[in-house]
Amino acid sequence: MTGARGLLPGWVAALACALAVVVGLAGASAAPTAADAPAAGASAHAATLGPSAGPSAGPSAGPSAGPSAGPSAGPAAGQPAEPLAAIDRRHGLAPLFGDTLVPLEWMPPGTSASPVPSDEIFPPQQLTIRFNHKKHVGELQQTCKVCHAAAYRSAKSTDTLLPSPAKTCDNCHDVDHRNLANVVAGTEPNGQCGYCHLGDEAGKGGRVAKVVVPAPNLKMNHEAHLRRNIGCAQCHGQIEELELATREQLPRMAGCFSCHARSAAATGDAKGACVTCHVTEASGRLETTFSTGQLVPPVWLHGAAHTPDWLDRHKGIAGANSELCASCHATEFCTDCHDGKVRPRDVHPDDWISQHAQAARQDNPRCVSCHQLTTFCGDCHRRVGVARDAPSANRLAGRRFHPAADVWTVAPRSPQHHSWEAERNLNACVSCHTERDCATCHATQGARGGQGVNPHAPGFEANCVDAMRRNPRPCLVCHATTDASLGACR
Amino acid sequence: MNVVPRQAARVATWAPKRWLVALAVVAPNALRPSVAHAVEAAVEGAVSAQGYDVVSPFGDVILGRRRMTTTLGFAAYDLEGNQDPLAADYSVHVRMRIDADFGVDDAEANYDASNRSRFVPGLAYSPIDLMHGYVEARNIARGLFGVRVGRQMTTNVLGWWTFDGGLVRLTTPYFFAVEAFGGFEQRGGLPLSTPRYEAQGVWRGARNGGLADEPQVFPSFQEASLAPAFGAAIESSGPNWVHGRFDYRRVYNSGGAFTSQFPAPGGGGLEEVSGLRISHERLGYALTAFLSDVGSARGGFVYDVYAAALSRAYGGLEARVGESTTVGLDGEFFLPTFDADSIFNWFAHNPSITALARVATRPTPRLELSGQAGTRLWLTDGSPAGFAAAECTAAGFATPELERACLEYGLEPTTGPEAEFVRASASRGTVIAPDLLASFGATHRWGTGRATARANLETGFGGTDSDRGRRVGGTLSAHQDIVPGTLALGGRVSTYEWHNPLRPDRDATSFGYVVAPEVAPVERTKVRIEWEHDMNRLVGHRFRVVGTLTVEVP
Repeated sequence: MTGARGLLPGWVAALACALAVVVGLAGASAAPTAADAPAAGASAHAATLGPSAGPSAGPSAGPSAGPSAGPSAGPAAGQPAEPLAAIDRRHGLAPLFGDTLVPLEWMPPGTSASPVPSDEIFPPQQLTIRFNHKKHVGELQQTCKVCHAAAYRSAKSTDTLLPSPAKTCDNCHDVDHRNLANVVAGTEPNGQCGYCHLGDEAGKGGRVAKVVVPAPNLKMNHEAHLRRNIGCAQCHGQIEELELATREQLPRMAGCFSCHARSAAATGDAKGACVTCHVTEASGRLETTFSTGQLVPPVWLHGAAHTPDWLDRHKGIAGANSELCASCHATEFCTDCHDGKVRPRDVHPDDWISQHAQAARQDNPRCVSCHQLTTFCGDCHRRVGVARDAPSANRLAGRRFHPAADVWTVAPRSPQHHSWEAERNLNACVSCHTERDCATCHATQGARGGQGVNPHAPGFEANCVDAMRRNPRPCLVCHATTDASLGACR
Repeated sequence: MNVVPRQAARVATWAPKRWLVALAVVAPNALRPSVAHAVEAAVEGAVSAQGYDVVSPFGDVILGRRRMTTTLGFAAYDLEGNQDPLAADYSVHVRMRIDADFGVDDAEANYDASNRSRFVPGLAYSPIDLMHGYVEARNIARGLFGVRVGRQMTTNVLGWWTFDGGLVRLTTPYFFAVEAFGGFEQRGGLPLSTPRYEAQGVWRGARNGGLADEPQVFPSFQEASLAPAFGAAIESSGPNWVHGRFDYRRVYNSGGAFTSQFPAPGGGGLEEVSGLRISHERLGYALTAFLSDVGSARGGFVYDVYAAALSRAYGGLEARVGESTTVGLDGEFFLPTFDADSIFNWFAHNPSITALARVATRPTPRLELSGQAGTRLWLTDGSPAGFAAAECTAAGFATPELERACLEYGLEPTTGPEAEFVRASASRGTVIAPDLLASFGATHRWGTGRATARANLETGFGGTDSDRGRRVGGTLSAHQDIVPGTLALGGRVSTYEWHNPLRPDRDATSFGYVVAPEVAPVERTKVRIEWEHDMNRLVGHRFRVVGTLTVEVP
């Protein structure tokens, strides 16, 4: 009872949820209509007060909204409410009406690889207008250049490519944007602030919500691309099929690769190098830290996504293509771990010294990625008396690291015999033992002081002639120069 | 620039010649210290001090490690004054390190013939090494050439490697580039050098002091000498969807090296070889390719020419499943190979083979998960389970009683039918001992912090003939900015359990935690203090304190 008192009964909660869904659905469908009235009111109000900060206006004008519509004709307060309200203003709010999914073939090339553009390259935008590209490009037969003429002259990504409302929108819409501090709405519905600018109070107090389209963190020369006859759609997709163009219509790197695939020495500008497009530091490496996040490889790029298991699998990519890594990382970044004197915590967890012996036993291939066995490992093993050739003061009588000699060393080869471990994981042996330890038994009898236990794998003789010719030293560790068995390898 | 018209207007009657106007414009630009403005220099330094104790597995020897590692790096970019990364670019890079351990005592580091009971050859108080130091020119002649001279590092399928010398790169317009290099491998024991990048297997360093005169002392410890090296590579260049690179490298040993490990009978000395001989010769190829909508593939191999053995081969396939999920399969073949001066190449019989399936997903923009599972196969020539009994039988211990005696008292393995049995290919069929591997990783990020989890399992199976033990555990860590850019706090807790059937007395379960505050008192300066406390039944409580100061000057 006590516990239930603080909670709603289940059926009340279910009913509340159901009602919330119904209200939500009804609200969603009614929203545009509801928005009309205050917007219209706002535009009337704006006309009275004079909008002071209308940075842009998207023309969705009908054929009647021609350039002749006098932009200076200010509406009387409240006058255009009815015509504006009669217009379906649900268009131009999303790429497709009702925010339905845009077919992949209309999206920028590479969208299938990267459904959304990178936040780090294309920071989030604030689109506070509605605009219908399909209407302007399709019905009204306006080319991209009509509004985005600046792109045809643009050499930098920081250039503003949005249209100047006074030079473009005002040609058809009944509004005067020449003084953005004092935009004057006309009398026709298409000239009201709320016609294009979003928000219940668009135009109120002479203000509209600002459109924010941050410059991309990318090098981009539109003029050069257009000069090469690369059309807008080749990077931005089929904008003419869409209403509002959003971040989703910005290019994807996978799409860029369809042209950017030339070597640094090739003629032309479509180089494949990362620095062709990405912003770089003075070092020539990519800028990777942005206010919107850390730039990392996309999930599809050479399998180099920096997933939580990246540490385990980066070897295959870095070894194959170190230039890819060097695009962002200095050598120090790698050596801090691979040649580091400070233990990388993500690789070697806490209490590593206690557990490293077992880790080396089971995961040995990875030890030699960073450690020289005979020095890095061996030095410490000698100092603590683990190694067989440790200095005498560090070797403790009667202490064995390995199982007892009768199973570890002596024939016959029991399941615990050292030979099995040496065959499976020789690197672990080398981290403690020098060749003198092995030669004690495996060198030939006589001058070399061993016991003649042959360690060679079957078929060894096939390679020994060439090996001995190129470096006889290892042969002579175990075999005296007069050893008859060397004859086969001379 | 704007000054010129005004100047011209003021002295209009003087009517300056056009060349003088041009000179007035150009001169200030020509005379200004353009290099000083254009060159970008960066200095970074880090000092890391650590104090902790290392306890011998036998519990008696305790090393007090009091380490201070100092690195100092300098780089100057755009020496040519042009900051276009696609244009010719000249730069200088230097990084040095002092790795001091004040816990090393005099008897460990300095050889004293009258008392060598603590001496460890090659150990030094504070080795100094030049990690890299080179001058680089890139994109010369419209991207055709690149040159690098000095101590430099290469990273490729053959592994990490550094050398002192020169590297030339020719990038052709035809989708491939060629590299060639020559110089000397960095070798421990030589000035400003570390043994980190040498081929495995040779204990090498400076036999200085009294050690130089006593070859019979530590004969396995070889005197370091210059190691001439050269190599070449061919690499694809341009297309991003595929990348392949072939590498070849050959390194020579020079100088003398003892061969015999024991003085010759009758008071003889140690034998020695000298002169140029192969240290290692390897070639390898690596390929990665992807289809952005489908997934990626990679593969490669390394062949050790001296050992005439495939040292490493690997391959992986990764497929995209949905928007932010990938699944993959990875395999690796690894056979240890060593410096040709080492005898260990002749002990390396079998590879370990690893096969893993993996999945990685990002269910939300802030949460990433990954998991891997698979096996590592350890191979032996012959069956550890029954080899001893068969060996005894082959030696003639045919009855159960004799076999028991053979197993208990051992036999002579170098002669007779037992030696033939050991060498016979019929006795040496490949037997596999599998380990199960699994790991899990997760990262959750929020505005000013992140948390990560990592867990892994490695475990063997069966009896003493195949069970290679177990290590299982995980770590939870978190990092939170408290005052962004100024104060942060990191922390970690972990627990691991391990078991080795060969050394059951060393089995333990460990718990550890770390607290690590970070302070950035001024811009580009960071101080991090790390307190680590680990505990297990073998060593009781153990502590490590690490303090790191990092300074960068852009």
